[in-house]
Amino acid sequence: MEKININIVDEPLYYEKLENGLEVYMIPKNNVKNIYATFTTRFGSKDDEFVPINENKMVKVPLGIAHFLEHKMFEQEDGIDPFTFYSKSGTSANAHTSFFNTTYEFSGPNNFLENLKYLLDFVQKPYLTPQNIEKEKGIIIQELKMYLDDPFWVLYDGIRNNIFYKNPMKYPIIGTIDSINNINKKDLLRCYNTFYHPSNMFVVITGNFDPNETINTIRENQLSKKFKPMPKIKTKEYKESDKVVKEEEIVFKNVDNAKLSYGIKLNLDKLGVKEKRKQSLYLYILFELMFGTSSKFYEEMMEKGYLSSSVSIDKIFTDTHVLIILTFESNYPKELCKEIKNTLDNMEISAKDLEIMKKGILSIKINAFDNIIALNDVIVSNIIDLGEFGSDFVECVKELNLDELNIMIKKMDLSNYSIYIVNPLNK
Amino acid sequence: MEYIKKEYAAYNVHIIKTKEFKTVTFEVNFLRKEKKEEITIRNFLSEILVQSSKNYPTKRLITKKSMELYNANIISSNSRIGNLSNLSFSLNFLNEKYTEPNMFKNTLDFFFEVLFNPLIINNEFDLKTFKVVKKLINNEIKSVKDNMTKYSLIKMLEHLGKNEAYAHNGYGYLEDLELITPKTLYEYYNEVLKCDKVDIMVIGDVEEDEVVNYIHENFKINTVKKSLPSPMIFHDKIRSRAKKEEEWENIAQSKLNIGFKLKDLSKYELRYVLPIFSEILGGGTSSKLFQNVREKNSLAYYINSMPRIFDNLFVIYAGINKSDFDKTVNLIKKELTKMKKGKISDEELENAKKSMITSVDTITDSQRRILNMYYTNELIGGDDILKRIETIKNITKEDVVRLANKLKIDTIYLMYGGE
Repeated sequence: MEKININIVDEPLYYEKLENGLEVYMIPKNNVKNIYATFTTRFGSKDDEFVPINENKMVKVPLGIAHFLEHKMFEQEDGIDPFTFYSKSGTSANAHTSFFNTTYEFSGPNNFLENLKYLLDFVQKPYLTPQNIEKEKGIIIQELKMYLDDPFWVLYDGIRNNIFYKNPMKYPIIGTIDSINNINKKDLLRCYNTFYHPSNMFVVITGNFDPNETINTIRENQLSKKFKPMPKIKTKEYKESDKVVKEEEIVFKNVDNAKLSYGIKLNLDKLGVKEKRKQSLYLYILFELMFGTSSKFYEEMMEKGYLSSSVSIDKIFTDTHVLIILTFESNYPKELCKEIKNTLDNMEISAKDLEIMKKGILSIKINAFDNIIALNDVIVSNIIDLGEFGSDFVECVKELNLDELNIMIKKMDLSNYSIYIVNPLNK
Repeated sequence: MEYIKKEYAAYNVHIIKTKEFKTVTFEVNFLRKEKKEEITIRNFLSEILVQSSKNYPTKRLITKKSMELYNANIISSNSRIGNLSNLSFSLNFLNEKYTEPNMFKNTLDFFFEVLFNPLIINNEFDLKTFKVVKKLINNEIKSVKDNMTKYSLIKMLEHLGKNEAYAHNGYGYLEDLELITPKTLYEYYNEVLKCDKVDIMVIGDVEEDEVVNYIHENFKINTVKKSLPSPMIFHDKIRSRAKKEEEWENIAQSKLNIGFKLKDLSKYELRYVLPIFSEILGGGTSSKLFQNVREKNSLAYYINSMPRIFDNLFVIYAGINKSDFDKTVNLIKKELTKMKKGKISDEELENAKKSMITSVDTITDSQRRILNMYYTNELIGGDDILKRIETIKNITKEDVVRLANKLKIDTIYLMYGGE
């Protein structure tokens, strides 16, 4: 087990890669009561076409299957589901699926080592029957219907659909009513057997526990199970165009205020900055300063009455591109879009503003260490996004400089964008 | 963790000294009796103070200043606590250890600037900021339908008691918004400073003297406060037969909300037995409703129950298909009957108790939850953490069954659409 110092707070991170390939990250914090553990597979909604283990051809699986499988892992052969198991010790359990990963989690201060073993066991032992698969469809379709009534969900799915040509991140993580109805046992098992191998998974634990005792428990648990060596997983690579599919779409929903997303598609190779972590930080700084509440844009648009709320800024990285999605509430979407374009064409950052943003970024990071759930989330997303935890975060932030940012601003091709508007029904 | 309370004529100071966090939180609460016609103006005030001040006359400059102070964010909110309305400003900032010398004082100066030095011109709020905030509040009121779960809950509560505080729309009302002017808003601001009960809560690795001295020198309120009524809402009348209400909305998923009014519950029942009852019936993923309505019958993705302690209310809510309405209501009634007849296994009771103990036990992990605990104690009193855990352990099945039999459905509400 390695002990790595996280210099931003001067606290240790423990890391080990087990023989079967499972990686374990632990940050013990003995000043809190609770413990939060997550178990993640690098399998998400984007993995919709791959060569299943023990097969030799690419297979396309129905949309939303990663999320469906997440639901089904809570079914166990002995009839005692994980929720019931965990509730016996006052522990809560949950799971969620994103584009890139599926994460299972529990939190609670009691019965920790048993809870941890159980987490490994239930995720490593699926129990799928045609009956329990059918039963889940009704539940997941209700989940989907709940999202359909959320205008921001409609925007987020709409804009991605209009920006991507081939990348499966084009589609809703949950899938569609048709695709959900098409999910069957065979495909679920193909996904499970291919992506739930320990070498494609990692455990992250934060909170009040002993790292030595914990790693021993995990080692012992994993040694007791047999896993065949896993060849590298072949997932389909998509050649994604720099262009967007559709530049504008307007839909009408049951809302009182119009909302819009402005999505920009940027090719990662044409950003002028190579390292992904820096790309991400620079983009965050740039768009926050240009469109956030500290921006001239925000001030002027509020005064003109073009904006009726603050702006939210999302980044989605794919292997080849990054999408910047700016989301606004506005009753003058067309006028606002002109102003956005105008602002994008004249981006300029001062050295002072860059320095202020760097302070803010460090503060947000330190803050996460006061909350074991936020901390765990940061670790999981770093591993998924960057392939590592990144304990040298302070150095990385310190290295950010105006010259590099200016190169990025100059090289950025902002001409590939798409606008998605949700208008009130009576408009 | 050490708790110190200092009472002064114009305000109370609560200091919770702890070295467990890397940040310090300062929170100022203004409390008064809740009135429907004041919700909008109070929301307005809550927003305008964090939008500009004399020395930072726009939101842009306020945001820049807070970023300079290592992301020292000021968050404001106006929320209802039973019969009372709580206007709250809170500041969370990094301990000086992680930043620079003098940041403690500089950050508090900024916080107090925002609270006590608003951008006032000729006894009125600055018109430019006023217009911006009016737009924001207008948008907030109109976006209530963006969250149909919340919106349908407000609708159901209106059927429970249209003029009662619990049915007021916390987002505010457009007709009240139109009446607010920069002048009336400034008058309201002064009235709040003069009349509202004020509690200042501080948590973190701080020195008592430093905090108290700073507040005495800079907190510009010196009026003596009258005491407030209890926040608890009581109901005179309880329906003996449930009523059904339906409304149409353009939605994909129908919303089923069931409201109960509670009467004659003891403090112990309300604060200890009711949460346990709720946990067993519809609390988490192992609850009766989750297991039967979702897992066995695939009727819903979410189905939960929720006690509203200050309001003496209990609510069950789910997202379903309209065509499954009768089936779902019957299943819910069946599970309620089981609770009333004592069909609760020892395991269900124990699990619910453990879940509640975990929740109480981990309060100390979060500054926010610690502050909430002490503030609630200030308002309605309450046991300390150890006493709470002891009390929970001793709850019996008889307690839960007795409570279940005091519960009567008031309104079964369906907001339907789609299909």
